[in-house]
Amino acid sequence: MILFKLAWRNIWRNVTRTMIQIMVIAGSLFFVIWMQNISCGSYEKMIADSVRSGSGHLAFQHSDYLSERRPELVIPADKALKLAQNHDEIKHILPRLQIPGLIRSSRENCSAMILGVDFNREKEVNVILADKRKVEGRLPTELETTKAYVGEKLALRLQVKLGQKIVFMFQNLEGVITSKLYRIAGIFRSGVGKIDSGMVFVDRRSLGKAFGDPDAVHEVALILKDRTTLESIKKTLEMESDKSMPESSKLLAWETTMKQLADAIKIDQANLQFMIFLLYVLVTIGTINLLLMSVLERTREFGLLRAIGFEKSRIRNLIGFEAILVGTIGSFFGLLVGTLASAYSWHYGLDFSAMFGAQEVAGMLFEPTIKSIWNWKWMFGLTTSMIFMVYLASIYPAGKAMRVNPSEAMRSYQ
Amino acid sequence: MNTVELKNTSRHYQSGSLVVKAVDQVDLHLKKGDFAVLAGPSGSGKSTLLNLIGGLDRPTDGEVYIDNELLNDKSDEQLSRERLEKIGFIFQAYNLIPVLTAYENVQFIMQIRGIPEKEHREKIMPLLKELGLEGLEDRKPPELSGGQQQRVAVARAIVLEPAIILADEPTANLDSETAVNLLQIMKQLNEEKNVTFLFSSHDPMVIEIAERVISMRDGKITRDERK
Ligand SMILES: Nc1ncnc2c1ncn2[C@@H]1O[C@H](COP(=O)(O)OP(=O)(O)OP(=O)(O)O)[C@@H](O)[C@H]1O
Ligand SMILES: [Mg+2]
Repeated sequence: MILFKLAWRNIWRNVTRTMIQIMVIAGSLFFVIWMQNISCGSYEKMIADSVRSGSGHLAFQHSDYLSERRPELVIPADKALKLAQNHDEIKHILPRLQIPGLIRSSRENCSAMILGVDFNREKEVNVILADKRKVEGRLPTELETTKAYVGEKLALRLQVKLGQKIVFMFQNLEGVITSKLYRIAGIFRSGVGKIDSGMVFVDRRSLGKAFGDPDAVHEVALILKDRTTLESIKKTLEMESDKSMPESSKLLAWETTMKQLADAIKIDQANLQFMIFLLYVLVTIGTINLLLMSVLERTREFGLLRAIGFEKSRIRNLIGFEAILVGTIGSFFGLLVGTLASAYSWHYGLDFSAMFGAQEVAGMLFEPTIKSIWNWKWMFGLTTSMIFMVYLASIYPAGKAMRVNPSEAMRSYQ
Repeated sequence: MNTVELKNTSRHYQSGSLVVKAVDQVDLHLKKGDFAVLAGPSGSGKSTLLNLIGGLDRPTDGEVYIDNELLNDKSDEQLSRERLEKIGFIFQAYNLIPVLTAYENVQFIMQIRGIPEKEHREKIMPLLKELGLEGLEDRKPPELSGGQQQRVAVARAIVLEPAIILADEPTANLDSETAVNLLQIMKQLNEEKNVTFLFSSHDPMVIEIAERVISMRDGKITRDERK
């Protein structure tokens, strides 16, 4: 207790220095906490956005489809749908048929990917089909089996307008070239070049029929209510699908189907962690420096303390206490401000549209507004490790204070 | 029984090829209740001798006993304990911990000694009163005069009733009136409580008050007389 009182008063001897130290600690901690919460928010958002236009949190696919992308690697849609419908944790079930082929208009032709989707399911989820990405026309309904929704650049290249005809030519399941006629119902602009210049959405079953099997799909993407349930859902579905699904079908998580994104997140996280580490090292060096100054100024006092019976170990503890006090005060404010800033960006979000003109990361589509999330584990970890680092920084100065020779200290600093 | 006993004690410093014999083969006995002064010119070894007795410094040769206990082979931590329990130190100036009040400076030593909180006040207040520090107990050192600071240092040195109080030129920073006053207070404590005092000085007025004058020159005791 006496050490605590002495340490507390000692740190306020040089108010400016202590305030600087507290501000450096608080500022650094605030920064890393906020950055971490924003980054995690951005990852969550990237994942949430891309599972919508991509392959979902989980996807049933033919086991070779991911690597080979051959159109004949199909799975039965109805069985997968039935399986997934039994689980409340699954919010959206999206069967998709993806066939590459050639599109011809009366003037031009070019290659494209035709996506057979269930429009009433897909429109609730897929960001490309969102209203605000629509340039003109409208989304086809489930019953309009010959209506297509095409990318803006593709329409431009084909020189087609709303209501005009296009013909899609592709290989069916037997390998025979087949063609199907569509009329343009609507045009979209996603902002991602590859999508806008090469993607067409049509009704799944009618496309499947032309393909040779109305029940055939290349994937059934599943969107979960809560990403954290992914592992357990995956396990149950895998067990259940053993019985009902063909052996060739496989259940893949988003990390596998969107490996690029998963890797990008991992790299970004590693970068951030390295930056945090560097910042902590800088704070530690700064703290060592300031503590050393305060110790060297007090050489005589340590001599005095030793003369009146203070043990060396208590001097070490005193310096350690001073560091922990400063570290704790600084970390408290850092955590406080970091929490407030995170609360702001959690509630209102941060608009990064000025920073990223293109809304494309790893070929995926993103909204430029990022809301941070609460990463309590990290916030707690960063705070305690900050206090710990500051304490570590006191070890060398404390050793110096401990080694003060009392007789010399009393002699030379009269 | 001797409170302090030095047997053939030396403290030599090696500075370059030169050996400085700060204390050289000194034999000294102090009895309980002694009120002795170390007198001698600057550089004669007074401070070094006091530091050796207090265990702040270690002899290069010879033995140091406090209460018949040999200090030589004690560890640094044990010496700290020894000082806390048996020795009160008073220095020339800046004796007090600047962030603590007069009261807390005295209390501090009771706290590190582990004396129960409730005994502090009844012990400290009368002592401060006796030393003429009544009403000043909540002041911090910079708000006290040099003489007042030294009296607080005396209070701290004596509060645990040590075997001996070592004072290295306690009056050197005081005007002579205050100096004599401080010495008289020390003398009074010596008479009332039978506390052993050993202090150094080169002020004749201060030396005058001592009952025993130990004169030093070049690290050796040249004279030791009782009045
Ligand atoms: N660390 C040291 N290294 C070398 N010589 C030292 C050291 N400490 C003290 N001395 C020398 O030892 C001698 C005795 O010094 P000491 O301080 O004990 O004298 P003193 O009698 O207390 O003097 P003063 O009245 O000036 O305080 C001096 O010559 C001094 O220079
Ligand atoms: Mg001296």
